[in-house]
Amino acid sequence: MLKQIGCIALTASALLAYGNDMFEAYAINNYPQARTLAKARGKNDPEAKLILSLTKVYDKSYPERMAIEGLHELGDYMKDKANPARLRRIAALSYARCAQLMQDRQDIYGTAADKVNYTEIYKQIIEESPNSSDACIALFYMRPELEDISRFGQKFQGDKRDLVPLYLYAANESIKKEKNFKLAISYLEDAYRFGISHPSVRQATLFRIGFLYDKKLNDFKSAEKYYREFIQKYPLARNSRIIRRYMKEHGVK
Amino acid sequence: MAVDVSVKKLRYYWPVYLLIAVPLLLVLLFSYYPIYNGFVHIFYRWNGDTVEEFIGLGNIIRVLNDTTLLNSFGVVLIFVIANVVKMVLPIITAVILHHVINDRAGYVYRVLFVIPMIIPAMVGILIWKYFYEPNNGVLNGILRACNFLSGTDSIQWLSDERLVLPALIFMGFPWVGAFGVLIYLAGLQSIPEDVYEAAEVDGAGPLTIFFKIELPLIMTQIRINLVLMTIGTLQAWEHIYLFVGINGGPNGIATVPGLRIFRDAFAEGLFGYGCAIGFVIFVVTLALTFVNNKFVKVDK
Amino acid sequence: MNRLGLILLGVFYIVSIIMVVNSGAVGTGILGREKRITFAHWQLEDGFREGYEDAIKEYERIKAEQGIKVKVVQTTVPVRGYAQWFLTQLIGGDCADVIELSGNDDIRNQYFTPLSQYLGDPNPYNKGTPLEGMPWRDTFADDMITALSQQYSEYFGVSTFVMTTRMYVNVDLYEKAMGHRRMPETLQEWLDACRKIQEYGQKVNRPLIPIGVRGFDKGTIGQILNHYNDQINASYNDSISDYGYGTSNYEIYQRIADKDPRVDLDRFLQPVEITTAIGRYFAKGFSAIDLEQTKFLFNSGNVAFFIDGTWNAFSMVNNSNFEVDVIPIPSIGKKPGMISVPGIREGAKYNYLGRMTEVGGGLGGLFGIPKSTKHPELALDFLHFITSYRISQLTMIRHSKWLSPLKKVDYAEAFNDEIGKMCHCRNNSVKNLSPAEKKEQVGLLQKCRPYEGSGYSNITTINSIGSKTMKDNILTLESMIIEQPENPKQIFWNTIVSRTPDAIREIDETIITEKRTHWNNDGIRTAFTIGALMDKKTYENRIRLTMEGMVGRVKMLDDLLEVPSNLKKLEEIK
Repeated sequence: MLKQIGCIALTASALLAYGNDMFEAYAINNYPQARTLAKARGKNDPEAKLILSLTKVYDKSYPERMAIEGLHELGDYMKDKANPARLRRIAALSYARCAQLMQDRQDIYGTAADKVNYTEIYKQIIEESPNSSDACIALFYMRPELEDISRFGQKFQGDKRDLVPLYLYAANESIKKEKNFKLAISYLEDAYRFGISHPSVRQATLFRIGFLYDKKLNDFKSAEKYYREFIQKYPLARNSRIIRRYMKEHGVK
Repeated sequence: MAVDVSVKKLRYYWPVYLLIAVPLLLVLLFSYYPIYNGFVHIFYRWNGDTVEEFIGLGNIIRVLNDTTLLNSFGVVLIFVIANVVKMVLPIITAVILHHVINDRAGYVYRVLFVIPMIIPAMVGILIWKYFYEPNNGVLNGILRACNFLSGTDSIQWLSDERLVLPALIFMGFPWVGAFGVLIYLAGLQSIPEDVYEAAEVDGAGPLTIFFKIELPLIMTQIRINLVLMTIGTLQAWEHIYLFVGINGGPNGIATVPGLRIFRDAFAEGLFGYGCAIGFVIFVVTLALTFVNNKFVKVDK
Repeated sequence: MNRLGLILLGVFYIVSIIMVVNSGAVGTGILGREKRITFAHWQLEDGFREGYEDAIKEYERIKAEQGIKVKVVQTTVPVRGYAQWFLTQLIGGDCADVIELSGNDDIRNQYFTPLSQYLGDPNPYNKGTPLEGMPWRDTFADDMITALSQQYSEYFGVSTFVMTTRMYVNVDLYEKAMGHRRMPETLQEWLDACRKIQEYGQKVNRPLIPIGVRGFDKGTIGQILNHYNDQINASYNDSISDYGYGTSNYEIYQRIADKDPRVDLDRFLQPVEITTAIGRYFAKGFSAIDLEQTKFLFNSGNVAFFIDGTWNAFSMVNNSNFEVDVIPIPSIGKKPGMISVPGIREGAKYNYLGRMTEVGGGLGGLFGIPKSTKHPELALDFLHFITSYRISQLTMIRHSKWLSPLKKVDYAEAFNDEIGKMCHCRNNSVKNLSPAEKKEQVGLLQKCRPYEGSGYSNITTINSIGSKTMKDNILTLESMIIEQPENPKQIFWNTIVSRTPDAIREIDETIITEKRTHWNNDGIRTAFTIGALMDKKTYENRIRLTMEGMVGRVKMLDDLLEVPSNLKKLEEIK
């Protein structure tokens, strides 16, 4: 009797001590706690089922076969229309991405994920929710062509900040594939205008726009506007000193 | 003393076996499992974290083709031979201590030998490092004072390829560590007095007593120390690391297999390869122990 | 007597119970009236703990005025065991409330409170200072770029100090050897001084060492190589990369492999030649001498120049039996341009760009708040406090004689009465300074301060490919310093080329690790997506941060995949 009370007390205190929200636990990458809470809810709970599958795939302490198991579970979850649409989309994106990464690590996962056409799943996500951040992420993971990014960006009606990673990626690809600095600058300008969330990336992008104008297109006049904005916003940053040198080289104060 | 117990009687002794099971489990978990794990990883390219790829005999082939590793076994063989020679002084010291007539003086000498044991080995190594320091170290200072070196010259004991190994061998002089001396002394003290009396009656001198009586009768201790010394020397690397660094000194001249394992595994992330080298050390140690048991006989 | 012993035992037992309960992990005092937070770190250097003790007293006083009874307990753990102690504390869930970070990004992400959400707001303790109103992140000299976790695109700690590298000079020895006290400013002057010190040693029959070097961990060789590499090659940051300012070693190797005419391999190898020439004046047997031995040699008066971090500046200057000056590692020349340095190679000229910009670099001492803290608001408040303008002046400048990580800090102001009122310690070198002492200490700190420079920032060295291969390349440089060959550049480069298979093997493993990081990052993204189901605003922003950080990771993997083929194209110098 005492033993049973003790066990109950221990479980209850564990639940209380670690918080009682499965999503909260997962959100802070506390996979063991998330798993415990998901198991407590039961496998029939769609949210718990999703969490259990996701922890199998992403928890590094698990062996590879668990990741493969989790991958197949995510695939089934995605296809099961009884599950809530939003959760199915989360499962779909993880399913496609993990399959994509597994196919790139055949030394570990063999052919376990070879049958998964992740590109189609990404396209499906984009089709079903074209204005969501999931669609932007799916397109990003597809490593799309520049035209696809531009077309997608023009049609996108959601929060423009979700387009930033795509446009930063597009800027790099413009340079890598076509050495098209003007196109790269246009993507960077758009990304900057939409609003870059990451403060370091925001600062670096502002500097980069000016730099590309100045050093790659020899257009100091266009660069100067961005240089001055940078100095005004980040007067004590290291790059401000670099900009001052550039301006001095151009004979400008 | 071990006694055969029938299975039926086990039920009377089950608490004993249960008690033994706990430490046995711990030994299995913390000693044997890591060994097994290490053995399995010989066949993997493993960086301890994200890279774990089965490569079959790749690491073994690499070990067999690794000339620097072969050289390191040569270096450790030199250390083993040197340590065998270094075993002589503790034996002589123990014999001298054994023959001290005054009990009180003998006791004082024994205590004086034991006290340095409390000083951590690391401290001793650092002191010797300063001893060998080329610019202001004690050894070069003595040589300058004796006019063997000019005021501005210095001998690089730990940076000159030709001198590193002798310097490492010489470290710890006069090599009369308390552990060895006390073990031999314990062996000598177990020799009965009538054996000495009989030898005296027969007209045996001190040297004869030493070679014909004392040395054979402490051969068990010598053999134990030899085995322990061999295993210890094969595995030791920390003092070399502290003296000459992770690269084993100039051109890696003082690299021993243990240092190679540490460097390859922990500095370069080649854990799988480190496991393979560890396996080779294990085989070599086993072989040397076998040789020791076969050829170093204790003739009672 | 037995009764007395028993009574004493009872009394001490009761006292110890009270002390244990009082300082227990409950987080409040024994009567529950005060809030208790712990502040832990491994900085045992002079002045650091004392500075924070004064800061803690000031904090408790301010909180008392606000009607909040707070007790802050400072705990220090030696550096050798710190990493293990840190981890066990986190796992045990009983960690200090504000603690100096250790471990990798994974541990920080798991156990520490993300600080992004707080960094956009001003630090309330900067009111009335030049940093008033600035977002907390922007008050740091590098805009917190150093503190950013690249993997998680998140901040888990804030910096508390800045370090630079300088050269300590035994002025007495220098003056005796040179006949004057004017310190060397250029490489030529430095080499001449080293030669004269050697000659002086011969004259007085003492084993004098011109340049004291910590050869054991190859630290000084790396510092000298980086220093001259920056001064010669930093301008390549403007031009090598098509993507923007700055260049990675992979891009350098790609240009060399493609025989890009814009890139001069010889110029990249010049720092090797300079370092080899400087190495003539290192201590004999330097490769086996460690940092402690080098400091010992310097303090014994036998070393003229010693390169080390500025965390030691105050103790080096004040604890030596001779006068010590602190100077920058000499530049190639006095003004930018093509400089020849006789004594290195006949007719050779080096492209000197000027002194590098140090501002915005060297930040360290990250402190964070574990998620397990029982007083998160108070811990955050304390973190704000210790990274505020005046407290940074108190702890870093006044007490530790280190450098502040904040912008616009006035070092002379740190020695005025306003900061002095916060000094409760008995150390007269902190509390009661004469004007001359204040001037001396401010002067010393100004010498250690990051330079504005000529507007160039660091560039990677030519040997920085693969961590193991890079170490092997440094060993090659060390051998060349010992042997002083005629053609160090050729030997160095050809050795790099001969190590290509090892470098490729390392790159293969880096690629695998990078792929694993992409997987982890997707795990983080998914975690935030789940989090967004509860708190849309916070977690959607974090998803964006993660994805913006992913752009750089995707580019890095693409670059890495091309490296092996580039390395195979490298050719030896005939």
